[in-house]
Amino acid sequence: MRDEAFALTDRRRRVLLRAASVLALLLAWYAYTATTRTLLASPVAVAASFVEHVVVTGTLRRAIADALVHAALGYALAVAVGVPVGFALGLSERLAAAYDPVVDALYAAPVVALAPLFVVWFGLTPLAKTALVFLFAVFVVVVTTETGVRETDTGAVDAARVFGAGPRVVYGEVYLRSALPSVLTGLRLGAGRAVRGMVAAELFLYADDLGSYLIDTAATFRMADSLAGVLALSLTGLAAMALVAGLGRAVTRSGS
Amino acid sequence: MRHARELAALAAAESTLSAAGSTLAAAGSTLAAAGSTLAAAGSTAASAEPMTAMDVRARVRDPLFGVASLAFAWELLARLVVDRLPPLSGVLVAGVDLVASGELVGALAASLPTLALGYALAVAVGVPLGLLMGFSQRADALADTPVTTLFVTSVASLLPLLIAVFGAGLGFYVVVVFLFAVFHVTLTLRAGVRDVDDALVETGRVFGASRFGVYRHVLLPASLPHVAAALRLGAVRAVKGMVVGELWVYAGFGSLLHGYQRYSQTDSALAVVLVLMVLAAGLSGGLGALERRYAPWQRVEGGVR
Repeated sequence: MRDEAFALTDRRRRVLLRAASVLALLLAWYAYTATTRTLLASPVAVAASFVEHVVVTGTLRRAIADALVHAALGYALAVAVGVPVGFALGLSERLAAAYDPVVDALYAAPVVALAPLFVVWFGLTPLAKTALVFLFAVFVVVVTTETGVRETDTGAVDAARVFGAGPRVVYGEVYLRSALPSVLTGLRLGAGRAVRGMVAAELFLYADDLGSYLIDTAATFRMADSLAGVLALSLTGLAAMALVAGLGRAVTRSGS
Repeated sequence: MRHARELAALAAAESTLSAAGSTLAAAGSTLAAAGSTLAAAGSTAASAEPMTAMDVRARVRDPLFGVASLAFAWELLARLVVDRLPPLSGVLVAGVDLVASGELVGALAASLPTLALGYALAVAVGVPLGLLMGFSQRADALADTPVTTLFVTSVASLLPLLIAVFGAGLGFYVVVVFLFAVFHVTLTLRAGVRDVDDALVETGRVFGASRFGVYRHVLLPASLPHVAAALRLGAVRAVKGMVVGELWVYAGFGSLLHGYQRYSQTDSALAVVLVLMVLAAGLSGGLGALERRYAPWQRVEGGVR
């Protein structure tokens, strides 16, 4: 075990290094944009645009909030389908042997290639967007849930059975509890994927305010505004994942 | 920290995928070429480690059953319930047409070079960077924030900007593929290297290995399976990047898909989607086979840590 004090200075030094590297990068970025004629916007301009469009006028904030409706719906569907399917695959070795390769191939597949098809099937409707988000998010939920269920200690399951536990306790308590961390990981990754799906839906199906914002700002070479949009979407993805993680922690705590 | 764990999970999930790598490629090719059962069985058996005949049968038979049952369900669903969905048989016929007309070959010829170039760049940057970040805490502290920030950034949201900067040329595709793959390669590898058992390093030291010796003889070989896992994930991401880039500028597979959309040729569009799926799974499976051949001493097994 390491010395406490040593660990502390170690951590402090790492935080300093981290801050220094970010600062150096921002300075280099700024210096580059200040000294050369380039398309790239300076970090100051990006920050200013971010504040303007997200906080002051709120155009970007509203555009993202509108798009998030499809994302939330598709994500909810992905969870509602992905968790039970993952449970089934995790519980049954035979099902897993038969369907794992297909699930794996689907997980690896470029989902966005289905966008043109969705336009044919669903037209330019919110349904198409929701379906795309669903497909973006569902497979990671299936795979992580499956892994968590499969890794459940069979000893614990047997012990519960020996003490007379019925299926409700065995599945609802033993398997669920054991798989929960993995399921929550899947839900968190799924939330990030859902936000990516939302962006893909805006760009590859049809553009509402968010898609128009991204396309128009770039097409008119307003780089600062465009990068502010990209930044806002990154933060949205992080926030969605943090929200799910927070909910997960709350559930875990109240359950134990 | 949180990202490292999430990545470890992602990597684990991805390697569960390719644990079934060769079977997966085999299953995929049956889907696409329908009826090459023998070839699929052959390739699975050839690329796998020595197994008993029963193992081989189980490893081939179960996935074949899975694919066949889904294919049957698709066919039934399309013929009886969902009008809009073209039956699988129709999609396969469209796929054969696609090959016969040369459209598929044309798209592949246009796309594969940019895919290879972008992926090679992503590997050339991501592997050293990931190893460095895994080995050295100092390097990690320096690179972590920018790499993680870019990792969570949706590359798709950068498309309009990238096209404005690079124009619809080779540079655009290569950059998109590179951006899709590089951060996944880096962070998967970092998570893997951090996972290397400290006891191995201690043992190396006890047996008198120098600092460099520990890197050369302990950490590097122990990390190789993680390199393989990172390369597999990177290949899958690179294919996604290729598709996204081409859809955005209506090139290669993107122009095929948009064309089919215009004339509502859902069967041909689905055939292209299946081809892309097989391409991604096949690359990942092929890399998995290479891994079993050249770094068989420590499989990275699935499982969320």
